[in-house]
Amino acid sequence: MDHYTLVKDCLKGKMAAQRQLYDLFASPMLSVCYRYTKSTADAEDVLQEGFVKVFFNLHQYRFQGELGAWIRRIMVTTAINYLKRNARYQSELVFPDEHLHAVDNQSDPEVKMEAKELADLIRQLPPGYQTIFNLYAVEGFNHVEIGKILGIQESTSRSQYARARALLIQWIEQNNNAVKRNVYAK
Amino acid sequence: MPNEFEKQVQQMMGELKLVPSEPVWQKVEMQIRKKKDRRRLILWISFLILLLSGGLWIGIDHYSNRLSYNDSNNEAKDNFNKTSVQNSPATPKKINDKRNTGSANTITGKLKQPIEKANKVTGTKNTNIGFDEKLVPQKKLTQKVSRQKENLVEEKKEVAVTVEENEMPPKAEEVIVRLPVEKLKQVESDPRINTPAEMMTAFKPDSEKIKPAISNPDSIKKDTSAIKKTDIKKYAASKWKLNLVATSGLSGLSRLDFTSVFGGLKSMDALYQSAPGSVTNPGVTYYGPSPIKKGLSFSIGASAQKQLSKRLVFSAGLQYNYYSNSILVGNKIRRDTVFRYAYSVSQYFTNNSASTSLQLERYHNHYHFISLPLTIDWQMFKKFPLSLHTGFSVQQMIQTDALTFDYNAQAYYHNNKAFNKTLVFTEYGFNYSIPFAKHSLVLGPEFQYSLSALEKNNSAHHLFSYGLKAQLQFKKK
Repeated sequence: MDHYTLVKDCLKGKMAAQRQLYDLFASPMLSVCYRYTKSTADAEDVLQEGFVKVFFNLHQYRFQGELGAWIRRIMVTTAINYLKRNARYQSELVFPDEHLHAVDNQSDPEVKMEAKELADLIRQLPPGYQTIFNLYAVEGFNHVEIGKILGIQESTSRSQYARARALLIQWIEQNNNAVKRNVYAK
Repeated sequence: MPNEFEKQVQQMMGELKLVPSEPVWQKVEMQIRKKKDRRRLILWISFLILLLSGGLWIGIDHYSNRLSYNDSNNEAKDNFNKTSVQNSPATPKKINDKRNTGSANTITGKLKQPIEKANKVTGTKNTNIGFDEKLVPQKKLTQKVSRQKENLVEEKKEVAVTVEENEMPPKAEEVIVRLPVEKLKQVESDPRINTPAEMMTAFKPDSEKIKPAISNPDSIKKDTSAIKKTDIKKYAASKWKLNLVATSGLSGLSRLDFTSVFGGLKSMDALYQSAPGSVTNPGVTYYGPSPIKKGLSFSIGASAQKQLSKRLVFSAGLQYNYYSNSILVGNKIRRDTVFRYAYSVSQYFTNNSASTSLQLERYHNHYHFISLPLTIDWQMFKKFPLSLHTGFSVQQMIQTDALTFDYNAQAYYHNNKAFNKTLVFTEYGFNYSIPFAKHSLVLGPEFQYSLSALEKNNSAHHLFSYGLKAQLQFKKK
């Protein structure tokens, strides 16, 4: 079924269509929510909240751009709002404006791991770094937009992202080295 | 600018697929159903509140419509001349009946507006009202109306008003192909007419004959008729939609006397025009009917709507209408009296000035109707959702406590038989459509005027009302 008919049927309240829409996008959207949270349970909470918003605002979708991209934007916003109001994340979701130590420009490593492993690495970053990294590297927002979303300055977003990137690259290289050691050990 | 590392990360995260557990969907579904039910509940509660407010208003108004000593005497002194006292055959007695101590300037508590504020519109305006809703069953509505003549000989008359829900305009193709047979034979036998173009020209009146500059009028005609057929079929297939309607405003009685405009006999009211409430004959002063002050009016009901064309919508409905106004009446006299047409009453209100203790009170007339409105809405602009609203409604009076004035006795009394129970109203207004959740909210001013006179013996009094209308159009989900 094409997306146009699916959306129209969902707007008419057809349960089968709503379930179909959910089945079509639940899996990729859970991956999005997974990257922003620290546990699968939290990711599913965000997913549930996000889909409720999708169904209630579906009449605003004007068929301009992909449906998946529209739903993804709702999920990202829902995830960030979830982090802001959840007590577990509030204290750690900080974006200090103080000057961070400069990070050496590192060469881009080759990421030799499964997608889930990389996602787990991203989730190990502190929440502030994790959020900015997801928004810049994965969602494709620029630092000005990230500043508006999170209520921080562009320079803060840049420096926080640089630190997050450096940390992640360090862990990826450690993982790559561990893989090499295992290969040689055999 | 994302470099290789970011591109890798993006690509890998795009490939990541995780499967949510089944309870997630169940919770989503539950939330959707809950919110939908909540919205429906809010809508019904709003209408219930409107209905209750109206009922409360009527109840309070009725309760306060008892005589009491009040301060409206000052108003009476300003309006009425007390120059002479006639030896009236009916001297009003002082009545020591129980009265409320409340003021006769009745409760004017503010009635809650039917729709207090329209919801904020998010996103672009949705003027598509859709054609998918099938709402009412395909049955005829009929209404029997009975009338009684004013004199003691009762005469029942049945009037059937039938409203067909699937009434459609005549199809375009029927109009196009309906050619006069005689003319057709004449054209066929005419040796000068050989081509279809010449035949088409022959059927047109002279003023409409197409100039030969058109190369192929047959194809143009076919295209136009094809387009018309498509449009007609499209709108003929459009379904009825349900609306909930509520109106709130003011109502009154007009004292326009159309007979005097055309040089006919003037109504009794017209005799009092020079000095409101009084007319002077040599040696005698009368008190006439009181000035009529406007009162609250409201209506509530439902209607079924059908799209006739791109900009034309037809509606048929069923409503409850309430009108009111107020007058100043004198002392209440409890005595068996016979008024005009041998109508006997046990009590009445005198406006006769013979008694120096005449005290005027405000009395509220209430009228309750059930109405069948038939209206047309015409969207005036292509892209702007503003429509001109016009139509008729047949209204049947179900209850009234209004008073009738007797010019001979200068008194007000109850006489339900004095009123025309079935009235025909015209209505005019404007409608502006606003998207409201998944439905449409229509707001606009409305004016109603009764073409029929309210009272059988007074052609001048016509009910009218004006106010704000709110209409909720349900769209198929």
